[in-house]
Formats: sequence, structure tokens, C-alpha cells
Amino acid sequence: MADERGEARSEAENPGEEEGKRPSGLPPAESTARRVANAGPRERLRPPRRRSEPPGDEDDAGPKAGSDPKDDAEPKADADPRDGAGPDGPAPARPPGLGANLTTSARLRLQLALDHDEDDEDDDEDDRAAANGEGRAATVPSAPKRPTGLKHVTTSARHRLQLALDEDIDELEAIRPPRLPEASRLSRRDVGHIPFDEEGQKVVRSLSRWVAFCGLLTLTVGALTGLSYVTGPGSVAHVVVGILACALSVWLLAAAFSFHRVLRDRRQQHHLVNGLGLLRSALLLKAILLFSGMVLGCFTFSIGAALLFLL
Amino acid sequence: MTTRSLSRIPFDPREERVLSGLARWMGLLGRFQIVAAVFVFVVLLGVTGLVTTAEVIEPASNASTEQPLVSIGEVSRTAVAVVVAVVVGFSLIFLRGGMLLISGAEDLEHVVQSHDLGQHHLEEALGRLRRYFVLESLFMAAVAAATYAATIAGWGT
Repeated sequence: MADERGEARSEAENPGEEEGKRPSGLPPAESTARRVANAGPRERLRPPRRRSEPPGDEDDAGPKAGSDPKDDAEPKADADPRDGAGPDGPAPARPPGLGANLTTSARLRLQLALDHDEDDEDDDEDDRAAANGEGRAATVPSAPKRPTGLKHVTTSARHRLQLALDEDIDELEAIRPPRLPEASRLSRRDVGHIPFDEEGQKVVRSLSRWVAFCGLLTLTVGALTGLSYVTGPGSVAHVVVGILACALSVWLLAAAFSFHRVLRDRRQQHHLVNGLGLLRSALLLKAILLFSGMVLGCFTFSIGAALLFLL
Repeated sequence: MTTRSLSRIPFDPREERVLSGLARWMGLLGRFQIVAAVFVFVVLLGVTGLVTTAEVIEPASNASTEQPLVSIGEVSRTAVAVVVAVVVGFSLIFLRGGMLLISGAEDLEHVVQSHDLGQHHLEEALGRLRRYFVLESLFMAAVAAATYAATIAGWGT
């Protein structure tokens, strides 16, 4: 009854504005009757009270006198900037969202109700037509047969709720339990499997062959260089270079074998990382050898240039 | 790029360390190769400039009848040109290999650090590694052939 008095007072103060703002086009009296009839289902949709809220806020949760019926569908009662936006204040352009005051269960029930209410749009239209014919009292159901649903909420309120839900999608994602990462969703059989496409398989196969070829060449050069010490013209430096080249070739051949197994074994990731690790060792040794060669080359070049200028 | 290559590969921390190490050493070796190639190119340019300058000023200093201290034998212009071309080619291959290594290292760093497109970057890195080893294999084959021709077969003597 307090709602009716407040609504009547609000409409008495702003008669033209209220009627002009109704997107549903229903007369104000009928809208008021429907709002009273929906007081029960809306109470169920309201989130449970928190312990941290002061007990004096009970009146804020209920429908306010003098407020627009669209505000009644907003579950966030206190600290809502639109509470003061009555006939005196300007209405905001967009709804601020349901915020953190709506619990997960209430939000899910609201979402279910919205989804469920989509199917009952036609029934709603039929009921409204029947109510117009039989009187306004017929629109007040004694007890809702369906547990949830926003069947009797006005179209504008329903749209605003839908907009608020869409706006709150980030907060909804934060409320929902975190999704499992992609790795943990894989089955145990798929762990370590890399889904190479045709081009990727070709690249891995070609890499395996070329690394193996390079390793064989390095092994040949290292062996010949090391054996040159035995055959006569070589020195100790040749032996050292030969040993280093053989070590390099061993790493390259092992990496090539690992790359070869990537396409033939189920543990593709294991073999790929193993091959890349062997390749890392080979490249590390090559970097050291190249750096040493550069230092020796610079030293030799500088000594040679100095001797050339001195002579 | 297919849709399957857009997936993220779930590497564990040990595998990420292996990939990070490979990327680091690949980048280092690539930079060394670029520096070495530039160094060889600069040295070759300097030697060519010195020889050209000596040839230009040779008539003026030809008046002296003293014997040279070092005699390196008869070297034809064709042989010098071939050596210069080979060294320039090797330095360019070295430079290209270093650039491929650096690009592959950046792709591998993307695989480790980014949270999407991991497989695409991994395939890119493997492709660049393949091209690097193709170049290196050809380079080593050429060096081995030249060494064989110069030492064993006695070509050019």
C-alpha cells in the first residue's frame, strides 16, 4: 500500500513525465497494478542480505515510494546513483550494472529467468490481452506456478536488466570459478602432443635431415683434421680442433635424431625440447669457437699488420 | 597460417629454460657471426685498398733496385679476384646465417614469453633454423672441397 501511495504521489507530481517515459505504452494505473503483483517474485530474485550491511537498510531493499517502476527491477538498492534520480534528478544514460551487490546465485537465477522469460513472450502478450478484457484484478496471480521468471516485469525493466547483465560480464567472469588452463584440460594421452600441420611436419622433417647432414659433414672434417696429426702434416692444434668438431657433430647428430623422433613418437614435445636442448649445446660450443677464432684472428691480423709496417 | 598453428604449447618451466637458453645462445652466435662477417669484409676491403694503392704508386717506387725481403711468388690477378669473390661470398653467407639465428632467437623468445600463437612462433623458429643449417651445410661443403682441392689434390700448385 505504501508503494501505491508513493506511486500515486509521484504521478501526481509529474503526471506528464511519467506517462511519456513509459516505453511499454501501458497506462500508469495498469503498470502500478502489475508492479504490485510482481512484488512476490521480485523478492525471490533479490540477493540475500550480507552480514556487513547495517540493519537499517531494510527499507532500501524494497520498492521505493516515488520512484520509477524501472528502478524497482534494479536489485542494487543502496549506493545506487540512480536512487536519487527521480523526478528531480536527470536519469543516467546507461544502467550502471548489477555490481558486486548481486550474489552469484542471484545472478544465475536472474540469468535463468531472463532466458526462461524469452520463451514466454507470447504467453505474456496473451495474458495481457486477457487482463485487459477481464479487469485488472485478473493480472494479479495468486501464486506463481513457475518458480522463476520475469514474466510480469515491464519490457523496459527487462531490457535494462539485460543491459546490466551484459555490462557486468567482466564481473560475472570474476565471480565464476576460474577456468582450467588448456594444459590441464588435455587428457593424459594428449600431453606432449604438438598438433603440427602439414607445413610444420615438413619443416621439422627437413630440419632433421639438414642437421644430420651438417653433423655428418662436421664429423668428417673433424676426423680428417684430427687424423692429419697421425698422417704427418698436422699438429696438436689440429687434434684439438678435430676433437671439438667431433663433439659438435655428436650433438648435431643427436639433435637430428630427436627431431626425427618428433614425427614418429607420441611424445612430440619431449623429443622437440630434447632436440632443441642438444642444439643449444652445439650452438654454445660454436659460439665459443667462433669467439676464440675472432680473438685469434684479430691478434694475428694485428701482429701481422704491425710486422708489415715495421719491416 | 592455419587455425591449428594458433594454439599455445604448454611448456613446463624446465622446457622453458631450455628454450630460453637456446634463444640466448642462438642470438649470441648470430651476433658473433655478423661481427665476424663484417670484420672479414672490412679486412678484405682494407687489403684490396692497400694493394690498389701500392699498384698505383708502384711506378714511383720502382726506381729502387733492391730485392724484396719477402717473395710470395707469382700471383695472377685472376687468382686474386677469385679469392676476393670467395671471401665476399663466405662473408655474405656468414652474415645471412647470423641474421637467421637472431630472427630464430626472437621467435623462440616469443614462444616462451607470449601466451598465444606459441606454435606459430615455434614453427617460424624451426624454419629459420632449417635455413641456417642449409647455409652452414653448403658453407662447410664448400670449405671442405676447397681444402681437399688445395691440400690433397694439389690444385693450384
